[in-house]
Amino acid sequence: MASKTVSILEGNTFVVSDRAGNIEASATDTGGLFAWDTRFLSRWVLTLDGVKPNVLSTDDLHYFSAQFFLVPGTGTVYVDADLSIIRKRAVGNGFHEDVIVLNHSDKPADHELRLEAASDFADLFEVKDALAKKGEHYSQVEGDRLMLGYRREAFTRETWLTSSVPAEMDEHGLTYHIHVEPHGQWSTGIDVAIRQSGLLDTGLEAPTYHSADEQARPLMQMGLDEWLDAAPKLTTDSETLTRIYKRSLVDLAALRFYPRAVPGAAIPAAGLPWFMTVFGRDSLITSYQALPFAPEMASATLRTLAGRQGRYFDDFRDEEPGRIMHEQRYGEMTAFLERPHSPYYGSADATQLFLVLLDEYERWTGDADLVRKLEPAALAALEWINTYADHNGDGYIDYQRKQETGLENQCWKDSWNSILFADGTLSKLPRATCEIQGYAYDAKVRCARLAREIWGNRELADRLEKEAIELKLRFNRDYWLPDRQFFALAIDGDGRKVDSLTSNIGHLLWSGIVDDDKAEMCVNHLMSDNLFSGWGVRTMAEGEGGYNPIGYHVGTVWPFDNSFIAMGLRRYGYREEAARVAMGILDAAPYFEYRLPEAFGGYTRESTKYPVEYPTACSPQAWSTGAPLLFLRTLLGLDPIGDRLLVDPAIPLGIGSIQLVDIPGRWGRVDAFGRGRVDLSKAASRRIAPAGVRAARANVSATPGSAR
Amino acid sequence: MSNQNPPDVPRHTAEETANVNQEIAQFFRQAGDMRSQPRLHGITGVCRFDLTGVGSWSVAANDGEITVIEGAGNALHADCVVACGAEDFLRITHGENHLNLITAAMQGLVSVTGDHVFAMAFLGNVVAAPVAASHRL
Repeated sequence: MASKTVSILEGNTFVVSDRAGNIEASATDTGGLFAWDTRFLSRWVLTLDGVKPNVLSTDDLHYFSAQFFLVPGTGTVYVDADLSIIRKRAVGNGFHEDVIVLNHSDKPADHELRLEAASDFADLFEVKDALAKKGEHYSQVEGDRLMLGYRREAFTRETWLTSSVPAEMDEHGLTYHIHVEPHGQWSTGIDVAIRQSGLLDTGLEAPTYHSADEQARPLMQMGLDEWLDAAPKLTTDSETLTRIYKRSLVDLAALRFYPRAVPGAAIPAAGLPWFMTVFGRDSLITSYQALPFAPEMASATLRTLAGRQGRYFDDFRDEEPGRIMHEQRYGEMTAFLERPHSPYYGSADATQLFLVLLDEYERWTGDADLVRKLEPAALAALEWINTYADHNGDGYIDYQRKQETGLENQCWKDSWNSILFADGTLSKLPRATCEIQGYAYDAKVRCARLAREIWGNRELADRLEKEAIELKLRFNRDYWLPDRQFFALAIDGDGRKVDSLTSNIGHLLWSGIVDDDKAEMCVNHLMSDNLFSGWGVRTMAEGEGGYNPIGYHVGTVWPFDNSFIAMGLRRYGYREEAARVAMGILDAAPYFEYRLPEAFGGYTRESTKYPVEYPTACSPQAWSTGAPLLFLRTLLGLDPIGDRLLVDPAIPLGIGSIQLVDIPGRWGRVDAFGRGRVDLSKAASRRIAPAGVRAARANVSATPGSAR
Repeated sequence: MSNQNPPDVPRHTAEETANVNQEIAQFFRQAGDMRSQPRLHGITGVCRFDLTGVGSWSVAANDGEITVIEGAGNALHADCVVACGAEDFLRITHGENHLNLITAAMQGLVSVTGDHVFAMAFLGNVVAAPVAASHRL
């Protein structure tokens, strides 16, 4: 599944081009040089004698650099060129590009090489929604530099282009009249630098990488070496798993975002191309998945999000005291308050997940200092859960945006039509989806431990434990659908149970809110043909009214979703089922060049034989990148117990052995080893028994209890 | 940045100007009275506010503790300097049209020089105003 575009990135700067290295942005082509949510270059097209060369091959092995090998077009289907062109591009503070022309003939060659340049300076929201600009564009040639600019009142953005070889510059690009000797070469290097007014103004800095110094490497590359050295080393019989692991670590490094408010700290940005910024939910989930591999990421995420925790009631930003933010943006529409992302707080789960990660981080690292420092933030978050998060006073966390610019769905399934009844009709707001209650339960249980062991607040610990027990009791009563034997997806604004069968029940297992006598039915549903496609658990079950195998949250398979489901299955003792879910997703990865996408089609594995691509999925996407890491943890059964790491493997036979050494944590560094013993060749699907039989079975079965 | 035009300077009566000045002075008095701001734990540095035609205030954060010094100008070291018009500053503190210091700085209404890392961490937690909203639907 080779992509038609090439994406390279560093921090929140990235370039999306075609396979020739050209950028030709349009309503249907979202290419460009982007930084801080603005497109600084929307056209960057190389021509030789007025014709775009053909692509021979493209190499984007490094996440921050790419090479494009081109030959002049012949006007026929044959490629028989005696000239070739190499474009080498590295991103970082804008980008640097080397253009090299090689003459393979024994005659001199004279050509006109041109690079057309233009910028629409579109805000990412304008790119997504095809909106018009409100300011004015300008451009000018200043000496040996071409400047493209945009101004709206005092808000300005500029792109500066300079060439190492003199070029004829005009307001639309650079032209070179080149002469190449027989078997000789010609080259130039072009810096594309960016400048921004206001808070983001750091002056006009040169791109990170320069061709003049062949030994120079982008800062992120040096960071990458250290990053890979610091991560646990994996040795396994599975070549597939080896490649997935390496790809995940490199992609996670690529997605590191350095928020200006926390010096030196890297948190995971959510994904390329639309989400290269701080997200509450995405950063928290990815940090959780990566804890055994890169625990410092969790620390940075917690500190960053605590620093931006809500303090006031602000309907525009859906801000409430104690609420953890959803998304921060830096583009024009945010600056001029046409979008509320400065930051926007419309997330109904980030606050609970913040507390979950805080506890999990301490369990792994023993960093009690951070837990003490973040006590005020944690207490404010708990206060939000107990007060402001319940908007209609029914005892459950719910959400409803206060203004039209806010998000309609504030759970992870945030598309407008994700919360549907079984007949396919839309539920009403405010919605109290099930998994956000589970997260709240887990957050209270975990914070009770922190209160008792670190904050020294026994009274709070007792209260939180009591609240957690009470919440679990109510939830298992109010959300259970006796006729369908699973938990409702949500309780909607009319107090109705939203009765679709969805993957959300897997998150309930992960959170531990499910009563033991209801767990087996949830597992049966998750592993049924209706939910489990063979590649993974679908977001919505086949057969539901709203099911669509290529619907964003109503039938596709999400690797991150499955990583949580697998962990939930292990939590309740379903080792084989967890291994099956992990194996399905890992089997899909080679079809995506070992980089799991945000989501893929929910078609049955038997019918398609390969996972069907979802057209607009982000890739790389942070929590998909983190999914294989959480699967590894699940397969090896890694769990901190005091100052020790418990290893309890349940690995499919097909993977063989897994050896993960130098796992960092409060124990220093330890190793984990496991051999494949789980036979997945037995029948995969579980049958759902009639309701009467199920009820009787539930009363007599000895379902494995929760692990913790 | 090139080709940047100076913003229009609004004209006011002496009484209006005095009111603006008084309100700004009051804002910094209250900031100083606050003394402790838990969300500034771990952040240490000085931010100076140069407000055109009104004066300057240096706000020091020391791991959550806040101290405000009026009128020292550049006699004190500052890690970052925030410069803006008095009216724009009040618009920010009032949260007018959802404006906050971050968006004002992004728009270019406010100039921020010096340590941007410190500024980003500091400003959102010191200059922000409660805005009218309901927490029940």
